[in-house]
Amino acid sequence: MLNAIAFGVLGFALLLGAVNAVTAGNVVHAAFWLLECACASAGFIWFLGAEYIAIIQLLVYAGAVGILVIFTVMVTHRSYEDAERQVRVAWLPLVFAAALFGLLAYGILTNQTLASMTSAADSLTIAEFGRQMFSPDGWTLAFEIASLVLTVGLIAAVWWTRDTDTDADGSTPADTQGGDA
Amino acid sequence: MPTVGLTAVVLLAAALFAIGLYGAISNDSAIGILISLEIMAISITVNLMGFARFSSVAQANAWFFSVFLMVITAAEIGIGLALVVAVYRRARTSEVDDLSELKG
Repeated sequence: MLNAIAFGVLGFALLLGAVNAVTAGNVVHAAFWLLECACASAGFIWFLGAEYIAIIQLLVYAGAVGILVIFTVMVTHRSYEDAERQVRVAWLPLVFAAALFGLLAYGILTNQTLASMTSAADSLTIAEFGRQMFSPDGWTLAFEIASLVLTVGLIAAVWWTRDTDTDADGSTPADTQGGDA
Repeated sequence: MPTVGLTAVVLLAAALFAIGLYGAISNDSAIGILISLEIMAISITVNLMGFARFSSVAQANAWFFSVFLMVITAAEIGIGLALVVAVYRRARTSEVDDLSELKG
């Protein structure tokens, strides 16, 4: 069983970050709330006994993803007004999300198997995790494919964001043709 | 000391997923939609780790899946934000409602 107080505090931090990230009027604030949510999730995962995953979660989400989002805001929003938007409650999505949560909650609360799983399992060590991942009949192939996916993603991101309007001499079509031709 | 079991963890993950879904459907900004997708991915990791904590059978698989989920999410956010930058260069906006060129 888990300590209910720690669960409550970390769960509240997680939900607070998520709600604010989704409803923030300023996209920069949303990015910072995402960082808070990622840090809280890392804390929650640590609390669940998976320290290794918690550290990766912190590095990948709070580190890489958070910085990437903030950089994108930096290069796409030229002024403070660009980042601001009107906060309004979208009722149809709200009803849809609430209905989904209700359905899931009904399924979770009526499931006897979940309710009976109360004793903590032995924690997996990082050494054992590594051995299982790189054993020949383990997850080596999936690991290699994941590396390939990341590489392809990286190349695609660079390809999409390259400056296609710039010629070899560094001038843009707008420069040479004068105006927004 | 009061304690909670797996049901509470899975409920929390479901709430997080629903919040992310609401954001993904309702957000006008493309960056906001990607942030909501990240929250949905975080909820899946929390869910997997909950099962890993309470079931030794599922433990190793839950760890593998969460690591691969992070890889996929990192690739997704990289490509997604690159698309946002590319679209912004062309249309000078990252609001999805304004990107109506292909609208019939």
